[in-house]
Amino acid sequence: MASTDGVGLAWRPAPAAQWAMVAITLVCAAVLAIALPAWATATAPPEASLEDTGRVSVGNVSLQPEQGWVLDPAATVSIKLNKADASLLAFPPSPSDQTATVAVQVAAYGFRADTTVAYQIGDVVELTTDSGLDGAYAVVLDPESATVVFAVSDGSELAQGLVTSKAATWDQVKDEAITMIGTLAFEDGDA
Amino acid sequence: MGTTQAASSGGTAGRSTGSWAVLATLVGLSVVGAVGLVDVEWFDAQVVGAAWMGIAAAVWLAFGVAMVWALVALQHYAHRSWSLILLALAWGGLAAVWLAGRAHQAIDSVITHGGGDPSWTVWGVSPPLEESLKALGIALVILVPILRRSSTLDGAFVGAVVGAGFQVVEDLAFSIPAMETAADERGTALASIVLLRGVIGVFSHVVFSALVGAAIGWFIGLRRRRTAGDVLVVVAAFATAMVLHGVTNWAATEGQIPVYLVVSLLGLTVLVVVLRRARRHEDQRLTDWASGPGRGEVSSTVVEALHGPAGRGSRRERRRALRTVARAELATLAAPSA
Repeated sequence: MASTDGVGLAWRPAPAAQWAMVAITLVCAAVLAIALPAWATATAPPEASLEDTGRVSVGNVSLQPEQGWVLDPAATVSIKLNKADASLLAFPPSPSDQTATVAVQVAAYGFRADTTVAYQIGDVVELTTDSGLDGAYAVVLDPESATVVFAVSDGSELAQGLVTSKAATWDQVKDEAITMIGTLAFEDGDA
Repeated sequence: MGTTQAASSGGTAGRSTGSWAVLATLVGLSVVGAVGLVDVEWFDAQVVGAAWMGIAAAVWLAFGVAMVWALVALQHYAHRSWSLILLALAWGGLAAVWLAGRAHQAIDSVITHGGGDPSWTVWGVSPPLEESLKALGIALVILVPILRRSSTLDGAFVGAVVGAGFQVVEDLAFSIPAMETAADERGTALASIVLLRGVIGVFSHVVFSALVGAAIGWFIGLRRRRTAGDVLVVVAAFATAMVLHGVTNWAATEGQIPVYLVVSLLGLTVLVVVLRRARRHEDQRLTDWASGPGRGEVSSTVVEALHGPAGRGSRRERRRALRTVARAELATLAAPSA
């Protein structure tokens, strides 16, 4: 039995060994589940957080995703939601006196300037978001895709973004995109 | 580590407070892990929908049942209590997966915030993190103790079951976002995950943990004073599992399927070699025990099957005899002390 070193014979583990393993395990669990995430939060504030209500936020902009729109985990500086071949991009607000309507007109002008593609640029539509901010959007269509450029302003800060979709699925995406734009809100600055 | 007290016949000493503390740690962290996993996956699961979540859960549950059945069927001595199996599955599938996920997310966020690319953590951070967590569970399960013995084969079995639990739950967790973004092609997305992580990866977590478990089981079961060399054996097994895990993760990420398959089979080969050697030692140990004095539970025919010249006892008879001896030995351990 020397070759087996007695391995496998009856034994009862020493309580000291059991308590030591319990202590090691609990310390490891505390470090991995509590300390490490807390350190990460302090070192690197979450780029995108998912709140209990389902709202997503990046920096100090948030919105409520519609059914089927999934937060892109790779998004670091903006909210990015995907649904099949559609995506929504919303940048955090920055200081600006520009109104949402003007901002969208400026963005739409960029499409007009590109004469290589037959863009159909819709009128700028104004709206008020659920949180009372002034918003605006315009739909830009080309033979293969649809783009919605939008902006939201509280008078001192302006947030912009866009929604893109394949032309074939635009009808399904359109209402959801506009609804989500209406849920945009500015948050207090994150830690 | 002085893990053992003097050998006893097990007897009716019952469980010490240390044993209950180990059991409470296992169960407690598994419950916390279960709650944590549901919390993490709840929103995405709602997006996927109840129907597809049910299908994915059923697929991976069937996969897990098949794996555990295979592991139990492969047992040479056929004595693995269901409480042992459930504890190992719970740790691997709930506690270890949740803790690894929490830590990995934190590390990734720090790297991303610092401007780095966190993709390397799949093969650089995940292996040591996950193998360490599984190893903790393996040691805890052995120390409960349920079998009141620890050997290379015991540890390998516990490790394999911990790995099976980890693999099944992790695979389900990966399936959820894949189905979420697939929208109208959820079935295809699920099938792809099953193929890559299930079928092709069947020899991943189970093999890695079995290797580590074999070393831990052997180390804990040593009856002599442990040396630095013994510790190195455990470290070597751990390092081997981490390297295998890291390479297979890298290969899967980079689409290097042939490398993935070769390394997975290499790991399986190493495990088979270790287990065959361990089984020969265990066979000899049981043979010696069966031929000892006072083994009234073991019939003479069993002893003859074990001691007979090559050819008298067929391989099947010998295996049956060894199982009888193993059961008799455990019955003796459980009997009141004389």
